Amino acid sequence: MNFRLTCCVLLLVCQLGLVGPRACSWAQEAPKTYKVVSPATYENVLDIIFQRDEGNRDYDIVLRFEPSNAPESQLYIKRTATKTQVLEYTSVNGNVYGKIDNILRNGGKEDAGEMAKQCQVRKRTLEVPTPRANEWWSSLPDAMAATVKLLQHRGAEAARGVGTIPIDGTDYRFWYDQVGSNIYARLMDQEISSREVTGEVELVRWMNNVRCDVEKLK
Amino acid sequence: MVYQGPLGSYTYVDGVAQRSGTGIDLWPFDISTPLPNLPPVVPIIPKPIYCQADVIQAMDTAWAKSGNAGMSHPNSQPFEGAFNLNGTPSNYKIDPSYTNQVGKMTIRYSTLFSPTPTFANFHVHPKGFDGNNGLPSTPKDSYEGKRGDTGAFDDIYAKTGQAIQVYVMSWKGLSVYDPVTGQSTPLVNGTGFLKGDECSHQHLPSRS
Repeated sequence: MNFRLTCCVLLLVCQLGLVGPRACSWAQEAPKTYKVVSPATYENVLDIIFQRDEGNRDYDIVLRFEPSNAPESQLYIKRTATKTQVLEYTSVNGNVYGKIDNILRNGGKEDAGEMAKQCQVRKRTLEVPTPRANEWWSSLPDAMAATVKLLQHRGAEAARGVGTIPIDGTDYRFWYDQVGSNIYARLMDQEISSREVTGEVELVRWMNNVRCDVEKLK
Repeated sequence: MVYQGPLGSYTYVDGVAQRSGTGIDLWPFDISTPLPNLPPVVPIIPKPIYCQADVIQAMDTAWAKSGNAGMSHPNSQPFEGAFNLNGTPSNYKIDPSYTNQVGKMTIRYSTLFSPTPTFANFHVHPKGFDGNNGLPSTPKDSYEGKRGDTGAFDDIYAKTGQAIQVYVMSWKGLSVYDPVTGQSTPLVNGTGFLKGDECSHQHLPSRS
């Protein structure tokens, strides 16, 4: 009886916080867990802020860069008989994923439309010198072939029990659109860099080469 | 121990009741049956994987390989340290990964075709690359849930069903991302995880 009474008093004391939180640390509380932004929401936000579905259908190639730390960007490349033009979108207030993840963490709703309203982008149109554009077009087939070869090799290794994956890198998206036909690729590789062309996958290196060339055009 | 029943006395030897008295046995149970061994009342909570001594040692090694998470050489491009746990949480091997510059880290892991698939990855986010878009840290930064962490392991889970929990070590703390739940959990604030701090009263987040 005395033991039960003692237990009740101790529990009451803990509940009321009379002896402070440390005295009750054995209560074993689970750590607080946060839901992170889903890949679908993230892509939807980027589709909205980079206006992928709004009047930008008349393009040949679209390149999207989703780095871990740096701001996201997207390049629309359009070629005509006389010139090649690049439409560039860049997030101007930092990494979009980090921004919308913080919105969710602070109690916001996972609503792509609402989240996109809080992200600002810079939009620029640039003319590409013809020799430079010709280099891009001529090197693309080899880059694609080498990429498929590397992915085949990695697939064979994975089937033997060893997978390869980049961490803290960049997610690259590539759309090649011709009337009636299109090619889409998503590749995870090394983080983008302003100092060098990065990437283990040839198509990624090609994309980063184009990105660095566009940087120099400004 | 001797128990005095209404029809005689019984002695318990190694948990078995031996009748020592005389008379008619009216007990509703067979006294020759061993008494069940009752489990202890104290609940057994498995130690989290990041509290295992060998994992703490591996975290220390990865931390050192990363130049104390970028603080040893503050003006140079920081390196990352990493390792995988292969097998199961109760029977695993530590698979150290090579280090490389931040953003150039491609790791190898054991797929489901391996007899000991990878179930956890630990890696370091060096100072300056631990949130806030590479800018110096602030108390409001998120040190878990970077796209580069979640995206890769979400992909593996979506494509193959292999769930690899991602533990991120930084100066801000230790956190884990679970691709099954899509949730991130800060486990330890600060660098106490290198000494096993907070292991006495923490447990892994459940996948409920």
